[in-house]
Amino acid sequence: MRARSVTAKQNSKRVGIDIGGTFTDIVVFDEATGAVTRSKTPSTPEAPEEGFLAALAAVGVPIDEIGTLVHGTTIVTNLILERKGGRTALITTRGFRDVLEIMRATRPLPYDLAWRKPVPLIPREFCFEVDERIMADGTIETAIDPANVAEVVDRIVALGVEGIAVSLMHAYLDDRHEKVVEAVIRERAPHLAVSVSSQICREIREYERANTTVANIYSMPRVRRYVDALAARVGVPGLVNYLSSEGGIQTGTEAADRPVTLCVSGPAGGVLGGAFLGEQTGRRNLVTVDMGGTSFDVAVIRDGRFDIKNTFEIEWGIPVKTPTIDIKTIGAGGGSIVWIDNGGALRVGPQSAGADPGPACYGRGGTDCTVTDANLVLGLIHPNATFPLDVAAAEAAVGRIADHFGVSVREAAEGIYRVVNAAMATAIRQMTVEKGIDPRDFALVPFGGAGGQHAAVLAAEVGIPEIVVPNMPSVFSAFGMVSAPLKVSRARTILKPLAMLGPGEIAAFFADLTGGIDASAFDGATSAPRHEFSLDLRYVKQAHEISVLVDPDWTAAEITEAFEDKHFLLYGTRHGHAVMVVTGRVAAIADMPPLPISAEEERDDRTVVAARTTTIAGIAGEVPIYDRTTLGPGARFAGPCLVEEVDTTFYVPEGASARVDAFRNLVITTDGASAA
Amino acid sequence: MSTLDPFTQQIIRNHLFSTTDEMIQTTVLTAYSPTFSEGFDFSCALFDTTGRMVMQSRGVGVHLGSLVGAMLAIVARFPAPRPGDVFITNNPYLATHQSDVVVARPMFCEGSHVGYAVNIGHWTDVGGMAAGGCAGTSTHVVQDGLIIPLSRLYDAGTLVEGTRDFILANVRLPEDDWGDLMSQVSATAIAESRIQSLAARYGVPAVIDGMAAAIEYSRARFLAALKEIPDGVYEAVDYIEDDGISDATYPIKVKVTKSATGFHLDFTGTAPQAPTPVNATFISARASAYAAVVALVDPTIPVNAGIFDQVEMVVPPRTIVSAEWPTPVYGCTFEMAKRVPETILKAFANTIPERTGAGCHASGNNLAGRAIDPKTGEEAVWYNYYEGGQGATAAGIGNDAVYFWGETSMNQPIEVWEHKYPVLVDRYALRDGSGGAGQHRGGHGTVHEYRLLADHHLSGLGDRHRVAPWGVEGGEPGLPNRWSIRRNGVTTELGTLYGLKSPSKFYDLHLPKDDVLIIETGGGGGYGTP
Repeated sequence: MRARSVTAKQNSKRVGIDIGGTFTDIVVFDEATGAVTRSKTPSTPEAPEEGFLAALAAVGVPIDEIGTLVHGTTIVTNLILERKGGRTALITTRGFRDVLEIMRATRPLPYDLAWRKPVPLIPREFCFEVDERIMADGTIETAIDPANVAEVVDRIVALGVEGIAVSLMHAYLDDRHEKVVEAVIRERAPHLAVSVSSQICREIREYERANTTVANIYSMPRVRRYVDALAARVGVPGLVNYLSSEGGIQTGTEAADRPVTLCVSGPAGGVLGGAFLGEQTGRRNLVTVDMGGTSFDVAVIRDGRFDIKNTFEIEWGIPVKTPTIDIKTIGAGGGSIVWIDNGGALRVGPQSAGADPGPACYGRGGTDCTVTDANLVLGLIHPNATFPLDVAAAEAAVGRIADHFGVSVREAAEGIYRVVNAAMATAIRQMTVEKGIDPRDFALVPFGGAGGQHAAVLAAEVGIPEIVVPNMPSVFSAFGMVSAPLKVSRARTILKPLAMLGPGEIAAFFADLTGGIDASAFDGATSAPRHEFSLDLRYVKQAHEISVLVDPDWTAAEITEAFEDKHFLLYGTRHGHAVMVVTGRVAAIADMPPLPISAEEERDDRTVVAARTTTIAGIAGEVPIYDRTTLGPGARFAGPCLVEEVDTTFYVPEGASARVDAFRNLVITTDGASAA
Repeated sequence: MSTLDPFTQQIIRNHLFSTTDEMIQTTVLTAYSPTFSEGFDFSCALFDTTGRMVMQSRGVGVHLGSLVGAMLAIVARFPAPRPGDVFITNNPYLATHQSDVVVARPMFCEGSHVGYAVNIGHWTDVGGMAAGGCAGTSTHVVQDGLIIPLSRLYDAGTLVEGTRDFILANVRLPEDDWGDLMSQVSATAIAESRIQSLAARYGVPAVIDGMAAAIEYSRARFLAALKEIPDGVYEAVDYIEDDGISDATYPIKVKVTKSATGFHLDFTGTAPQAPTPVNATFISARASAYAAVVALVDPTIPVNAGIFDQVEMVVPPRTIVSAEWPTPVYGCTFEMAKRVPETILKAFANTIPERTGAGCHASGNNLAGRAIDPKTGEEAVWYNYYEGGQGATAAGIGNDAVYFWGETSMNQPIEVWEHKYPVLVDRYALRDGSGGAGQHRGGHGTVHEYRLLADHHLSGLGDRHRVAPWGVEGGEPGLPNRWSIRRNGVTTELGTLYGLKSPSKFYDLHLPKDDVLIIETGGGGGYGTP
């Protein structure tokens, strides 16, 4: 990224911009004053750079006052889902051109004959073979012939493509053949983009590696145009940085070279925000939950760090193997549509009414009943908070559900609330209890537009005793982007039994892997990068690995013990069999200057005055509504009540008590809270 | 009638489903054989205390439906289970075939028995005459593998070492089998703990009531969707094309009477049982029929006893779909698990053309090989089965390269495969031209070319190598399956090269190093005149 100028004032602003499908969120942090500004403006999916600039204009920050800008974007996911990537080709080993067509030859559900396989990112006519073969033990069975490659490249060039992916058999073991192909492409067609599997995804399993490489090249032309367009419009080279799926700041160059690392860029921001909040308030263990219009995302921060997983499915059958914050997503959000199936049961989602037409209560022509409509009927959202909501329309929508079950509108709304809460609680349990993590040691950090209406009940349901509601929960992902560290990671397959690795061999491997990271990625950091090392390990005969954090100097016995402990924690068995080292990973992380948010004095004598009252039908009767902007540090109050802010409402149930901390976070303890 | 409100019923149903999904994950992530961990050749389900299925995972249809038989036997044999008990069996006449090992754990919440968590999965080797199974010409069930009678594997939490040792002493891959067995045991343990957390939140009675409600829910959806299929009698016939040792062909005849309450399936007229393992037991044939019924009515309904209760199947004794001891049935999951459901769908091809369609490759094309791995000096044993082309439907073209629609198996990555076995895969591609032409073309099958890096002994048990997948409404048939050998540059159909009675059923052929085994899988039939 751009070297930071230290002259204050001039570029004292740190900016996070999170472009989602519906809204573009922006948060501006002024390092000179500590002031924070935010805005939410409509996204412009056809030309996202317009929405980006509009967001900047909305907060009125001149470009030359910006020191750091971090951008999260859904561009990669969207262009892959919509198959709007570049015209690209694949080069693979003789005999394997159909790797993208065959996929893993499976289906999501048995018995469904009408189901159709997903469409590959590169059509069959654009997949080519070259003569070469490396065997599983590394033997070169057929050497590569540059003349043969040149002939293939010329045929591809004639098709008028924008880029070529290269994924050869067993290239995770030996990248020399792929390097030959890359060199031939660069020589004969220097104008083309190239993605090479041994550089993008150096891991075993030919379909997953090829598809990751293909996803990268497929998204590259549009992402590069976008990165270039933003840089040109902003006018300051290197100013715009990108948030990767693993929660690190990347330069525009890195993002354009490895667009596949941006797949979960937006949600990663929220988890980073949670990590920042934990650090700020001295909490090491947090569960972040992001509930927006269509989905509910759960992540766990344990002892100050979050887990990284290495496979992400953009859609069913289209996997991408790239480091991604371990986030569990279910299709439950405020806009999730409530429906009755042909067995007469209540179902919630995964279809969403989105923002347009949105829930029935938005009054934009939507008639489907949504979670938000039920929440409005219950009184968990005030009808005149952000913009006027149509209570009658919500009651009519929920009423259709009520009629089906022969219950009152209120009872139906409660039922909807319970069903969606149970689904979200299951997702939280899967990320905690079911991985051997005791949620009683954690705090819940809810954000997103709909998170506040459910968080307290979820916490009670899964046994989390404390909730910390950040400032600005509806733009929290953008806030997290401001707090992101610089991060670059690399991985390489080892695939040897642990017993066959000599002393010092793992340390030497990590030193080599670390050496491949360009130091210029950390310009602007406050310190040299620190490194996190991990090994993907399994029992020799298993197929799937567990990622274990290691010290490069550990002995084989120490590595084995760490692996077997984690295996036991996850699956309840410890086999004592030989261990295989599959992949080694390093993440280099360097911090940006700290955000100077200062603590305010918490005073006991603050008066807490309700702005007005409302009725939470069937749950709590008449309750006060507090305006969050009037609640100073130290303010205390008890549930049941609602706390409103610009674009969201937080529900504090009966038995819970609330306090505003020194950073103006709302801290709620749920002991004895009654789950609705 | 359930005493639970409809919202709690839904919450419990969702929890039961996510529990079966976690069982799948646990099994895949910890298993030892690529058959389990890459191929997903196993299935999981939850049952109530009486042995009625409550919820099933994704998986293999014939596995799941067959558990209906195994669980009734378990409930009868062990009427007073204790916490920590785990039962095991692979008796083929109780479920499918010996390679599919059933592991069942009674689940207890707060001391009360609430049901069973069950995992059934295909072990790569269970002993028997052919390494990796698939002896196409065995003539007695004991030749196909060790039979584990219904036994306790854990007795109130303690491993029964005698049971374990007896099993592992009779298989070729004791470590693989043990790792797979442990993955099955872990999956059932995970399920029990998930159901315990459900009980902790809602109470034991609610869990038991919720399980019963899940069955009634599926029944209600099934009966509702059933209305869209016209009542009537539907008939079809298909064939097992040979038995590997004689010239006989084996018709499978079905007469389906569809009414407002379900399906009556009459297999009278089906061929007598064959001497070789192309047969199915009644239990596994019925399981295969369940898959067809679900596909016809609504594939999105959670499958359980609520659907099974509405299906009645009538078969005379000792036919090819009701074989009895000691007739071998090893091929039931490979062939009959596809042939029976396809025959039923074929009967409806003109009535529900968008959910039935033309014929599929409809064979596992199962092959098993053994060889001394030159790298390790040890015996390598592999087993594999293959995707092919799906038949086209009125709604669209058939999928290329997919496993049969009654299962969610996955292919095993070639890179993983080559690490494990002395085989170099020269080619893994779509088989062009194999899908039948039509207004909608049938899906293409695939071609696998295995160059053998060591001398091999090969056994095979396939079908539909002679009778092509049919087209519908004027669509053309797909190409049938074919196995060949390229030796010294000359490619010959395998049965011809070895002078076999059948192109697809044999035992322990010797293939010298450097042979190329070519597996071409069939294409789906086309729909509509091209």
